[in-house]
Amino acid sequence: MAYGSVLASDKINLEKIDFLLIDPNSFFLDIMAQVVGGFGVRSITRCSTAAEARTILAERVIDFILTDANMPDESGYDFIEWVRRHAIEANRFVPAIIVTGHTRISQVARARDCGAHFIIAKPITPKVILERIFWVGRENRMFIESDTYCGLDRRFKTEGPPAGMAGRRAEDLDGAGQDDDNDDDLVSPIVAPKVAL
Amino acid sequence: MSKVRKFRVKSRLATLAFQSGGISANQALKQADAGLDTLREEGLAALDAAIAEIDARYGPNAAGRTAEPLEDLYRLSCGVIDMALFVPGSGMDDCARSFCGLVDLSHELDIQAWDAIDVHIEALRLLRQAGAAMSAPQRQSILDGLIQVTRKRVGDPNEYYDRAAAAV
Repeated sequence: MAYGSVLASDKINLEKIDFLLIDPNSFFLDIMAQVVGGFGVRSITRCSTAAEARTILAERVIDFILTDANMPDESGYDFIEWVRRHAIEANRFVPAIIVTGHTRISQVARARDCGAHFIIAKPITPKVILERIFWVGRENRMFIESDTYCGLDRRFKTEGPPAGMAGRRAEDLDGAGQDDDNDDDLVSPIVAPKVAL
Repeated sequence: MSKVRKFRVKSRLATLAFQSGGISANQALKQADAGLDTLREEGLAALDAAIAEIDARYGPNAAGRTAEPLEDLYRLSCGVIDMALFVPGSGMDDCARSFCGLVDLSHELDIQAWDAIDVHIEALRLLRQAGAAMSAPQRQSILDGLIQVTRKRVGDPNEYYDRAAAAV
């Protein structure tokens, strides 16, 4: 696993972290608020549109963004790209996770290039969200800023190309990288005490 | 060629989340699950409402379905995925994701695929009623059928994903 394991006994303190939740569905906002509230987050700001979220980000510093990909006024991908390019400096590199049930074919490249820390498949589960928060808190990936991309370095694995595929570089391992970041097999052990997440 | 800047940023999350105090991952998950339990009934009601609306507007007995926007069907199917967290192990999330893929590809290619839509609606209803009680192979056979009908009517969504991902 690229980020190392998280033990069930590992501690996390989110009491001083300001979370921004964005989703057009108020009930889904309730769901996300219950999840991060359960993790000990005390400051949760909820927005139903990207426009609303932009206003919040212009006014104060946010520590973590959890946004839906499909919003009526703007996609979550476009929103995160805007954050990386145009938000106030204190918020430009804020940890950001996008959640989506399905990625439209027309949005695949946007999802890849938007600069989010992670994209998580719905339906969400607390264990996947918590694991990603741990990973984001612990990781030390570089940010890359260029004319065409602003976000975390997307080449953060070293396991090689997908199974059965030849690598593009001489140093690539032969088809060793088989795990899927969102694979339940990878994250299920979080519920087992003393076992890696 | 444009200049590329590489740098590291230490977030407040990284600074604060691992300070003393806090709660264990295990406790955090228990608390989150307990919070979600308070929303379970409302979530199941929302799930059933989404399926009912899909059937009423886009099902085989919906007289005006050809005039209904596919965008709404896509949104409703996404809503089923959202609420599928309250019916783990039912296969509803995979079914609804297949539905989203079908609708998205139908829209992209401007293809009418009502027979495939009917099959997906029927599968949603079936999995809602009995998906959690089915064996894994039974659920998989239903999902395999959805993949097949989608491929037959609009093509393989994965091929389009690969092309889209390869595009720069």
